[in-house]
Amino acid sequence: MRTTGCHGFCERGPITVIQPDGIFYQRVKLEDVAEVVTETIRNKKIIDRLLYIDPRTGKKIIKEKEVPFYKKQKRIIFGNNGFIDPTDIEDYIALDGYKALAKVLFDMTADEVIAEVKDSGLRGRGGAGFLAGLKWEICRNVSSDVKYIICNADEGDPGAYMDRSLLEGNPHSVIEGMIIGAYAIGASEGYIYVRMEYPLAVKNITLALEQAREMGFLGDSILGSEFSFDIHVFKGAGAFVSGEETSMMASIEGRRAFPRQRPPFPAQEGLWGKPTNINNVETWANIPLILNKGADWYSHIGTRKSKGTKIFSLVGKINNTGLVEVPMGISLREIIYEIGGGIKDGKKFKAVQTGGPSGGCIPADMLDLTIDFDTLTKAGSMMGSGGMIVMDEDTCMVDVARYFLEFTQEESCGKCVPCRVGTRQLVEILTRITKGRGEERDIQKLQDLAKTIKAGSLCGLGQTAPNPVLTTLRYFENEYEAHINQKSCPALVCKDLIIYHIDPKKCVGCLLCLKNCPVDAISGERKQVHVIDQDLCIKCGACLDVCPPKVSAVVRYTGKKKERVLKNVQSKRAKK
Amino acid sequence: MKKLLTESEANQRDLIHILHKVQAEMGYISPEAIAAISKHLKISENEIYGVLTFYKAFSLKPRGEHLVTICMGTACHVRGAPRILDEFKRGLCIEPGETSEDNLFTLETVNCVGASWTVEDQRCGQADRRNKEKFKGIKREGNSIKKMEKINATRLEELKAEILDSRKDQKTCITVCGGTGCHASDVFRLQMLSGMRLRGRS
Amino acid sequence: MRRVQIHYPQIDKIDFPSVYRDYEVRRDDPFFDRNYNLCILCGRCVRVCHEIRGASTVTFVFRGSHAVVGTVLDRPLQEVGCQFCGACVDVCPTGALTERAIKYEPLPDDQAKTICPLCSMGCELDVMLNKGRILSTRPSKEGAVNLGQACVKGRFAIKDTVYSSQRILKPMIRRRKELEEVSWDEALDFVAQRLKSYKGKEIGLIQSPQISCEGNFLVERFAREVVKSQNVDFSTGISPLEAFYETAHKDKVKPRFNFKREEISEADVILLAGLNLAVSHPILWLEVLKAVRKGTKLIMVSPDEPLGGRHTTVCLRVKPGSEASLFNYLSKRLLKDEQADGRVLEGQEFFTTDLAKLTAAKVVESTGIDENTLNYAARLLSEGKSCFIFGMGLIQDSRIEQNLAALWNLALLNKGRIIPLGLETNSRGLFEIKRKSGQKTKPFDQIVQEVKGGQIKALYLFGPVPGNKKLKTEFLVVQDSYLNKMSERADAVFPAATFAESDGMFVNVEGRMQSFHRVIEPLGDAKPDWWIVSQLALRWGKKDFLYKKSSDILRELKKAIPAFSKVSTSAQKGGLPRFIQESDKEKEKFMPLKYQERTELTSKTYPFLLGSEYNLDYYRSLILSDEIKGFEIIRNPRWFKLNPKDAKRLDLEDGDEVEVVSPVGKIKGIIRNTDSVPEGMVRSCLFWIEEPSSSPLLPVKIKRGK
Repeated sequence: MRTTGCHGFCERGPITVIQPDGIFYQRVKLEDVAEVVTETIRNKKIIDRLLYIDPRTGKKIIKEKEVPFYKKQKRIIFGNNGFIDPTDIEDYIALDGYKALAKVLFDMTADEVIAEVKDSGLRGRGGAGFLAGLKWEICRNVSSDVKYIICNADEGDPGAYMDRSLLEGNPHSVIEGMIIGAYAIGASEGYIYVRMEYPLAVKNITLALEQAREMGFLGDSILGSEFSFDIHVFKGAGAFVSGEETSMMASIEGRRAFPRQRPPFPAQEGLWGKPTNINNVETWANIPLILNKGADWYSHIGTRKSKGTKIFSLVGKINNTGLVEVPMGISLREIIYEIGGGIKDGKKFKAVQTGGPSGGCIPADMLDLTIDFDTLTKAGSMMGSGGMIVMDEDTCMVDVARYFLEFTQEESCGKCVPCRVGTRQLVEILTRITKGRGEERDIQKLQDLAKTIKAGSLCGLGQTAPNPVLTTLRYFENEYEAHINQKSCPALVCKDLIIYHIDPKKCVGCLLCLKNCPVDAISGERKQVHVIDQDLCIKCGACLDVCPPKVSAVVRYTGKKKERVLKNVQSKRAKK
Repeated sequence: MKKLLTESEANQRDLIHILHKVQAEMGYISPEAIAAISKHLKISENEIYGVLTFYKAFSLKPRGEHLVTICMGTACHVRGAPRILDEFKRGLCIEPGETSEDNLFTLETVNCVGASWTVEDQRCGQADRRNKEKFKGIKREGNSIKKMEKINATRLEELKAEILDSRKDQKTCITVCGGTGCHASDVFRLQMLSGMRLRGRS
Repeated sequence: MRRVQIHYPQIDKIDFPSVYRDYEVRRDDPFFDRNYNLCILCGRCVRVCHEIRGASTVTFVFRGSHAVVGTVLDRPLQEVGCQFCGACVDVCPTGALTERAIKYEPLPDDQAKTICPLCSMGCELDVMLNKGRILSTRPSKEGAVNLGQACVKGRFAIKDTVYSSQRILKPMIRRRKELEEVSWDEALDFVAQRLKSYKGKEIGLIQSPQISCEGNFLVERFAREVVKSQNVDFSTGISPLEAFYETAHKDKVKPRFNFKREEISEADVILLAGLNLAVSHPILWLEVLKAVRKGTKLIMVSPDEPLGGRHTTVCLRVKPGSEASLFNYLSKRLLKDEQADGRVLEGQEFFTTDLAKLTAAKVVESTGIDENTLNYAARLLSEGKSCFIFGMGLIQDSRIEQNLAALWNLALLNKGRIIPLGLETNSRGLFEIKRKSGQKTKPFDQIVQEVKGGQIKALYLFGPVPGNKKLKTEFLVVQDSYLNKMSERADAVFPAATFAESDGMFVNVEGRMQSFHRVIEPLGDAKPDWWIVSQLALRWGKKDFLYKKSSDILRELKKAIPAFSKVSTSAQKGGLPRFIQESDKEKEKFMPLKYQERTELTSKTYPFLLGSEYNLDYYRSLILSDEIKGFEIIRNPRWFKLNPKDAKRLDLEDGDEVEVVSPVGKIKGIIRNTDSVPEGMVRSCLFWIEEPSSSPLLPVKIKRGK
């Protein structure tokens, strides 16, 4: 019995896998445990009820490998998560852990390590996709008595959690990567900056560090070599901007997480003015792999310019939410339909948002886009840290843009005027539009302002903050126009543009909605048609949720239809 | 407070660390705490105030007994988090960041707790899951290693062999996913079972 | 801001709705208003406050669109350690921070330079003028002393000092028991005629270290050549400079006094003793901060917690009066640590044997500091080039020599530099004039005694005198810019021009000779001090006292006292800085320890020690807080600062009216609680002006007032 790291298929959790056969049980409950032990382990019987059913074929699947969610993935970094107890360093060692480190320390020079990483073509997984090997080399070539490396685990993008999963599930792979990096760069101290919202990650990585230190993988003369290095955990304090490298350093130094101008780059003057190399969790986790299996092996995975695999957190309105690790160059369609199992409730796919608040939305007609750093940037979005939020027809793109801008506005550090004031203005315009008070010139204004913010901001947060607006404008301008011109929200999301209405022809008078209305806006008697008082309605949607699907009498209207219904209601009232 | 400080080093780099500790210990950062930290770290009170108001983790007012944190991450947003928030606002009669008059509840929003997979269209479920209980639910046993030794490179290979050897007899191994997601859904389910339903109105 | 509007009038439409942040305008701070609605968060004020002034009183708070410049918990500036240096106001580009006094004044039409007379640094100031009237003053960017910085006095106090309502504008003489305004000739004739009736030894002259070298030189000559009196000294009692000189002189040691500001930041260890540098010499404090930023260790020795204590590496809060044993102990530690150094200096043997008697336990007991801290301080001192700066705190009781000898020995052992810091504007200049003129004069205390004893019958005052109530003479002449208690009783009053209305030279604490020039026309009939003295001397028929300009006197001064010979009036126009000349060689010799018995000052009846906070918060006889309301808020002379524990014991709270009674007199004031004062002490700003005392430390008791 072992508690392992995250298997990635979160939708179906808690997951239990019986090794060595790889029998895959999903949504296991407390009551099931006894049965699993007696039936499956003792009697070698499969419990049907706990098996995963392929929603497409309706077939039950026994083995983990055969689950379509896993089939299409290439889990080279993430795969071991399912075998390792993150609190036990022996599990990691048993799976060739720290082998790469031993190889590096005794058989390779620092330059060779850097050459290997450069040859592998590994690009930083933090978002911008800078070549990791090159970054190391720059930092190595700066002469200084003290150098630092930082592992960026301030996974701020809402909806992305692969770094968390790696730190929680396989912390030693990150640690090993960092030690190798420190050896190559010549650093003596390292920091792992973890979000405070991830208590388990903080705990597991701290424990892993302790164990690694005790076994001599960290500290003075690592594994008996001449190399010494240690790592500290720094718990973040809740600021999205501290994911930006210069502000992360300010935060570690104990100051306000203000980004600063570059150059000087962190590789020249970073933490406390010393050369510093910052890489993301996933990047570090790639390092042991590359050195174990060789740059050649690694560079065969992926596309010409983007090598290796990438972990995405596939969330939103999709059937199989979870973490997926796929080779670069896979198409969106494969991820969403084959791994993700399609859209929830059979609805229509509308767009996928990648790259968090800095990224953008990719529309349905670009589903066949192959994914790597460059194609995503070309499409107006970005790789970001790997969040992939799927949206269906019920998602209003203007509302999504407004959401992201509200986020960046809130998280802007306030240093640069374009970002501080500009995002606020963008939010105000977008809010106006979602409230039905949009003006003709607003689209132009949004575009102008977005460009100004992009051009005039110091750090990545400001420079990419308008991306959600720009991409939604690019692909979904019609929705903006609908909001502005027809005062309608096609996705029926924007509260001020919709009404809830009970269709008198369908209502069976079951009182369900009436009881559930938090403001008592619904009136009616049993077996009689219920009516929503539009003046009282706060549009919380409770009635729509509770109305039995068979009846589905509660409907939402927007635009002209809404006006018509409202007029009807008014005229009826006037008659009374 | 004094104990907290004597345990910590006196360096600007420890400021956030100390603030975390104070926040965890006292539930908020009091003016007295600011003064004490200022003396200890030799940083002006104003600077400390500047730092602590920058980060969301620290509050200047005591928090209520129950902290209701609502995830406003993208996935949650798409799946209807604003509606949950509205419901809580109405139910507790407070805005995000405020504490109810009876000091029982503090309502806060967070940008992502990284549990996006669990978002479902059941509002009551979401509300429960985002309660503080969620974090309380995560408790791990200590590590299982009995003996720890300093090793060097040659020993590494041997050790691996030893570990594999010792596990030869383990024919069957149940691996339970210990990811936060599975933890969270477990808690969620248990709560559902015990019939805890929290509606904004009640 | 006004200029921007003038230059870009074409901006008439803004495409986006403006967001008014609706912050309350802060008008509760002295001297300037803060309207953060106008703030663009450029951060210049935050940076200047943090990086240059080391005060960190304003900082960014909150973030994103809520970000604003503010203080901890939005407290008023005076509660968060602000010294109101005005650096933030000067760098603010938008008018969010504005000097209240000039908010509704016209723009300046002219600008001139002057030297600030409000402490011994002598900062160069730019004076903003409109139609020949001073609007405000700013620190001059070219100022070699202040490098573009000033303190609250130079920034906000100059204008009100010059235009004070207490200015004396006309010569006055007493006729039929009333002071009457008369013409200059009449007044001068009257005084000359009366003075001629006294013998030389019956006349006393009290100089002021706040008037120029030229003025003081002429007073000196006047005493010597005209009235032929030896009774000439200045009033402020002993200064660190003089005390140090005299202590050293007795042992035939010649200390150096000149230093350059930069020498401080070049040191590896700085020890500040007996002063609150951040308040008394804010500009030198900036230099110390510069050093601290690049890693210099800072040790402070004082019974009080000095402002900016958080910049210190170690702060030694000694019991008052135990400084000497602290220094000796540090010397002992250094001797132990540095035995490898083969250098043996004169007096070292005595010194070593004397130190052997000093045990750690004794020092711990007398200073109240634990041994580890003492040893840590000693270790810091041994780490490199050191610099010792001391102020009035070391010379405020009877054991001046003991303190200074101990410090001298410590510095010698450590190959460090000693810098005595005087307070008064021109104390160095006056000191040099007195030291080098070769004339024997009586010290101030003796003059006071002789006045009281009736030997001195006529007194001619150029500045304020402590204990003025008790000084009664047959004939009193007051030459001052401001009305004061002495001028009320005077038989003749001469209106002296202030620094802004005359030419002259000050020698600052570094030994730098700085000329200043007339900025505005003298108010009323006020005349420069040298003019008054020279006109008076002419009444005796002394033709060689006839000068047209102050520079003529300077020429003579250079001839008479060679130390001044390098001065040139053009020194400020890009020339090299001119320093007082002195021999470079310090004689390397240890001084005997001069143990002086410690006499317990306090007693059961008088359980507290009253000590002064040495800040030069006056100009001639104008107490700044009397004229400037802002000063009353930040450094009220009526405050008695008391440790909260003592206050609790006496059941006194902030703002309570009290009467502080000493064996020689009593004063009324208000209680102010502060941790910075040690238990058993009371601190006040300016009491010596009111109360006479030979020792600035007085035993007192505190009574609740009505």
